[in-house]
Amino acid sequence: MSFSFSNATEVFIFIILCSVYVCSILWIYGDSATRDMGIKGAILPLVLVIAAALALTKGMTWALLAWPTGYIAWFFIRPKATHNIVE
Amino acid sequence: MLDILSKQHIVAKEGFNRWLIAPAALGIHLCIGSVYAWSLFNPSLIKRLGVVTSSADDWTLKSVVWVFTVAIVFLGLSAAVAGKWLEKVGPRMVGTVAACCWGGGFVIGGIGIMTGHLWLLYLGYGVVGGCGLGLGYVSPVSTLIRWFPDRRGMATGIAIMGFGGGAMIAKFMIEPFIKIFYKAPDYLGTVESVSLKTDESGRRLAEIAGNLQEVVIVGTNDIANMLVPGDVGVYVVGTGTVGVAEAFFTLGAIYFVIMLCAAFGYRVPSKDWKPKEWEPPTEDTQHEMISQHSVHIDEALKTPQFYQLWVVLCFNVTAGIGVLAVAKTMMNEIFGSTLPNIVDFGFASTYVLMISAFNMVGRFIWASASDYLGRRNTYWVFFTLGIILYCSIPYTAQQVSVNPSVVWLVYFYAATMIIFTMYGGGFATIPAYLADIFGTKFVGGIHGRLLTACASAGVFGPLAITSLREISVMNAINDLITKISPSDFQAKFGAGVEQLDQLVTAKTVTISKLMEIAPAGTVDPTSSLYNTTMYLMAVILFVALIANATMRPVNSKHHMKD
Repeated sequence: MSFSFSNATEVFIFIILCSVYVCSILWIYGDSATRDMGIKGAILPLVLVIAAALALTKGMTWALLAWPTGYIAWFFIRPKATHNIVE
Repeated sequence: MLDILSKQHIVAKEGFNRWLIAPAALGIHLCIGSVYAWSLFNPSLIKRLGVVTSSADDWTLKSVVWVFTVAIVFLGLSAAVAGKWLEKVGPRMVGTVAACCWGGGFVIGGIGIMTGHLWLLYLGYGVVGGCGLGLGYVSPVSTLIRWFPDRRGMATGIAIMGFGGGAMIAKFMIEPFIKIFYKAPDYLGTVESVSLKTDESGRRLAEIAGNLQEVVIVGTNDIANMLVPGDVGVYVVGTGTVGVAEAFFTLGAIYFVIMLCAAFGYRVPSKDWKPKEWEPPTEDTQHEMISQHSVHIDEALKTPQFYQLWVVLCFNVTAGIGVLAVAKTMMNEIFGSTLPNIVDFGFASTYVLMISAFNMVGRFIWASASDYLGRRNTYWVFFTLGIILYCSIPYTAQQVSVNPSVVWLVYFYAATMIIFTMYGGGFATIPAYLADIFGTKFVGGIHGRLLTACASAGVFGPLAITSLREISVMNAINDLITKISPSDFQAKFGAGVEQLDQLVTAKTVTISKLMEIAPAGTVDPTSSLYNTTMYLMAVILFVALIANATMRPVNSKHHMKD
């Protein structure tokens, strides 16, 4: 099913999905910054940004699949150790 | 050399008047706020070669309109990236780089216009200038909040008011500059007096001194669209100048100087400075929403509060853009036909000016009011009042089509103006809300990242309006078709109903044209075209209301530790 924007519900769902994507990616950026991932921490979320954008252009089904997949994948690939940010 | 730009170099001396920061911040925001006046360049940019009217090789409106979108997207991206850098190097360095980017963006864009390279215009004004916008937008915010811990809302309201008012001031510079540098192309005479040819690509050519040269023809209907009034007739392409490149260079230089002066006016308070006779509020139940702890930029991204504020800002801006983009059209379409004696061209122009004025004033008033009401309560007002107003607009439109009374016009005017103050107020109050929730230490950087919400809203708002209006128009046309006899349709449009899609695409069939052959008593559906958009905006505001209502202080595990 692709986004045809043929009714208000579809436009609303698209706005919510895009918001969830942007917020998830910001969260991953924050998470990677507290895990000392260096350049990898900048590139991996960028891959998710591109995947998310591609999924959204493919339609709602792809978008609904790509987000949880990418989000869960992040929990597996991120370093386990985290650190506190101190002054 | 770079030392004079550093954060350490601009720590204010004892007794510094904190009110001097406000004009510096306002100066930068007034300059970058001129981005909203981009549409004033469009008529000139699409006549770069033809000057009096568009020639075959001139840029299309569609291609130049996107420059503005690129600039807004880069505003969000650069603010998100540079926020952390701002906290490290201080506002003067960021303000100076913003001046270079914004001024330099105009210069690069001007070169692009002069040489005919559209990509240079995108790179200059869109990318480089867009980065200047983002850097300039965030540069004074955290500094102001630190100088005015007792009036955070008012302080940020002053600066962000400038961003709303920049376009109003730019209008009085852009149009005169374009006229000063404008040079009309060579006039050959009337169409009848010149020997014209048309080549295979459709270009009009005239023979001048034995050579064929491309020309453009100005007809009677084109006079109103000329940048500077001229005669009807034939003009040689490439012999005049539209003045926009020169205007770009001049504006770039002016903005650079003002922003540089403003950046050098920045001072940061010393670490333990606070206003005289002011004590930070204690974290008791009365002030639980004003944190005395700081949350790091990266850590803030891991708190639910950041995303609640993201939703609050994004959806408030989306709803605002939703009505901002169609307000003038609504005024013309709904009231222009029902109350034509009042809603004329002059009325509509004043209405547009009032939109900018209320947007600007709302930024200062609402942000200042939030110091007394509390940030969460201010957004409560925005969303509850917003939902009521958005839901009432379709009712107003329906009533005026049935009973054309001036009362509905007054109501619509007042309702939209209140919506515009809240749109501006939402922008201006958010930095103070962030400072309350995450502390003042990294508020500039966190604010920068939150501006991704504005960039997203810049996509959502226009998307919602354009798609929903298109659906409403098609539904209205299909509904009208069922009431019109096929023979009347055939006689009016010279084609059958089965060709409706093609006729609509070619703009041959419109609602107003169908109303001319509709049976007497048929209600004009124009006034209801925006109903779905308004209801969707109300739903979006409801989501934002929930996000705001569930706002709680940040969990102490996210606070920075010494």
